[in-house]
Amino acid sequence: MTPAKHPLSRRTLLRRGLGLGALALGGPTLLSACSSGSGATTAPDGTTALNYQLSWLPTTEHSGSWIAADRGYYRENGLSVNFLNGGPNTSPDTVVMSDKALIGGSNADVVSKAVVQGADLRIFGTRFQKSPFCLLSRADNPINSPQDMIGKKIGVAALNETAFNLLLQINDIDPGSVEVVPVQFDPSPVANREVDGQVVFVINEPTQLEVKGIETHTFLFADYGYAVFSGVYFAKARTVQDNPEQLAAFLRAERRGWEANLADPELGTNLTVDVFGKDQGFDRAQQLLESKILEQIMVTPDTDSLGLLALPPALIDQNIKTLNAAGIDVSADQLFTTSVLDSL
Amino acid sequence: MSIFSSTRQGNLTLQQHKWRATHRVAGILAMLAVWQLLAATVFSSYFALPTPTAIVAQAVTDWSMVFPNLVQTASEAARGWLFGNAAAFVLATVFILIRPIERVATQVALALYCLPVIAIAPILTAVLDGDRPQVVIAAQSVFFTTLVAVMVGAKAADQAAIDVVRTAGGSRRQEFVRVTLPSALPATFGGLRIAAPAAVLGAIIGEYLGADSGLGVAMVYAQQSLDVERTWALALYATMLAGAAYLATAAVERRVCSWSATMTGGTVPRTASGSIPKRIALTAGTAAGAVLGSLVLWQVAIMGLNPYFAKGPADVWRYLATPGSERDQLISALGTTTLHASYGYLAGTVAAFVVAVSVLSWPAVEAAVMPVAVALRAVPLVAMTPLIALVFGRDVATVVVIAGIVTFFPSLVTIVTGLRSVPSGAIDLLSAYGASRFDLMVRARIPYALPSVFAAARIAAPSAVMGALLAEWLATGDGIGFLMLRASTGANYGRLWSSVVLITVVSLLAYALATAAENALSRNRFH
Repeated sequence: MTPAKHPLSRRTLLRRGLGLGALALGGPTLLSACSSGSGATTAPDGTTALNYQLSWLPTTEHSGSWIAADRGYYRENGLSVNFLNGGPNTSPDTVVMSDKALIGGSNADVVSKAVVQGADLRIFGTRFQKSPFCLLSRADNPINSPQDMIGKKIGVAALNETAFNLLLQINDIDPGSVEVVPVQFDPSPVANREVDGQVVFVINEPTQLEVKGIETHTFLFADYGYAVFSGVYFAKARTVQDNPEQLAAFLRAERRGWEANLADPELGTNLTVDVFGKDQGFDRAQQLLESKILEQIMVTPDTDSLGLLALPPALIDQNIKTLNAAGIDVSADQLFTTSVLDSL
Repeated sequence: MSIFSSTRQGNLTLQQHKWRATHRVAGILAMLAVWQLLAATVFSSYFALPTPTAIVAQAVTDWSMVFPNLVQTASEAARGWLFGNAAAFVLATVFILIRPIERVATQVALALYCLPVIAIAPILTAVLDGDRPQVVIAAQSVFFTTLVAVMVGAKAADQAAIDVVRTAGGSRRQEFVRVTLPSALPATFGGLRIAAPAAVLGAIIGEYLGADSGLGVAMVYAQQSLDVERTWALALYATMLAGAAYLATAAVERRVCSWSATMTGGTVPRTASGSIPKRIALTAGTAAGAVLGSLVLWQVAIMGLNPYFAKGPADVWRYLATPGSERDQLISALGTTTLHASYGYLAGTVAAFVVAVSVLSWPAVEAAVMPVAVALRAVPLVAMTPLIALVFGRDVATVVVIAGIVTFFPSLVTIVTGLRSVPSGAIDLLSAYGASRFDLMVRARIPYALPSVFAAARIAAPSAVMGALLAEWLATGDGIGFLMLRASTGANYGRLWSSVVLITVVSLLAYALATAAENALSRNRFH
């Protein structure tokens, strides 16, 4: 069951009224002048209602969350979670900073940049232990390693620029030796041979091209020194301090959801295609492929001992080192907290 | 039934109607045939342009999946259209009744219209609930064009008629209801016709930038999964939605305005008069007032928002006043974008003028071109960018095409209206002397339509800036469009807001230039 989309509260009513007023003024004014701050409210059934800003479209990438909602894991932990879809240009850090969502999903590099710009955010868990960033090329024109990119045309979306530049830096490649082409999130440039390679998530576009009958080749950034978490959960530092039990309850439910999906990838696929992404017309075969691949980047020896979604200390160090190398001046304490995971 | 103006063809014979209909169908079929051929041959090995038959087949297959998204988009567009136009009407009424505030307030309204969606969407999404960000973007896309249209119409009121009402002892209200309002209707509907597809497009762009559902969201996934047929099928639905909105407006217009077109004696805008120093003083005063008004509105708008992403005038001033590579980058990107916008504006206007002249000369052209023109305005360019980039590369040619497309439609509608608004007396006179269709065009229509080119420029010039931003964002990866995208993904809100300010200023200057040209031209011709 989908949780109630917009649990009505005095605040939302107030916002709606103001929204109309602002529209009449012809501008996006005054809107959350009245939003009081926590991002969570009490639902009619006594659970804590909170918004979770997803990092991407409602695909199987969020299977664990779908299962947690569908099987009542959130509810058992005293939460009703409302999902806000992400997309190519959503900015989860802004949504969380404005208190529209209590929890956001993103990549560690994006969150770290927000932190450097003054957003007091903390990453308190991560879906993916290994970064899903990869370089996608066609099998008949394969790019096997970062060195292989020299002299080639590579499509990079703006949101992935940081990751790409980091990869170049870690592998001592002169950015001038690679021709970067700005692209969006559709893989047509590589499919149409407009570019030789394109920076994508290994769970998304490669499976989509395979389903279309295009043979692909990929190399993972993670295999070439790029150690930055993707699919992280983050919240305001204040939430971590004042309401850590809400975040812990959330992670507990997520973890159970993900365990269930790893045991049976069809579970998340069906919920994606039939319920949570119903209006998107997802391709079931592709979504299943994606759901199955998730295990490769979610399960490691670390998670065997620490549990899924863990932030292993050694990986935190590597994240910080990589980010610092890219000129993002952030410390582990400024970006991560393991306190929520430790309390589970 | 003409897509442009429905008011001047009431007296066609049945036979003429049949003849036109035949041409129209022939024109559309010819266009589809060329498309089918190209898609099946040149583009068959690319994931960019499916055949019309494949698109229609996909559209039929996808109906059950599209339907809820279509409803969502239609609802956002309808609400945006309603709120945006309502705001425009309220403001226009205030302007007409209290003339002195018009100059300043129009500039502030223009500034709101010029705000680049790419930059404000993430902030709207962060601040508003549910689908309200999309509704606001749709409203923003229609608000200003309608405002301008209503004002142009109101000013077209026949002074003689006003004098009659006044000497007969009519009140201010009667003058407004009996003369100003009726004369404003034709131009207003012109504006509303532009607004209908604009609202749909605004909603879709809003969805594309991040939403729960709608055609724009479905398009993101269709593109990511390289489902080109579905992307175009969704674009087809978007076009039909926009087209339906357009035709519905035109139908209402036909009912309401059948009488009013013959009433007005041509829409010559009143122009600023007075000595040059006086005009300069007035302009400077207006500019100062508008800047002050915008700053106040801005400061109020960000009140209570988190300062992490909500930057105020003082923050932007600090950012722009700090020399260094950060600022240099911004300035050089601004130069690139200005250049891009100028190219796009020229391309779009020239194309619109040529098409407008052809449309009036050969009705068959209208049949072939009009559906494309409406479609170009309605199809979210995000759906076509892969194709445009593939054909034109990711360089300045693509910018010209995209910015040109954005400029083309509003210019076309305004210029055709201008070409048609020649006083019938002039046409009759020339016809009586045996003037050919060509003579009519060169001697009457084009001279009369020239002011409309500049009237169109007032909308088209800021649109060209937006088109350039869109092209930079989607294809070329340079200019301020890409800088803003990068600033937004890199949480560099100081840079983002500064870019918004600079680009808004450029749009305002473009608008001012167009207005000045229009005024100068009308002065020379009619005074």
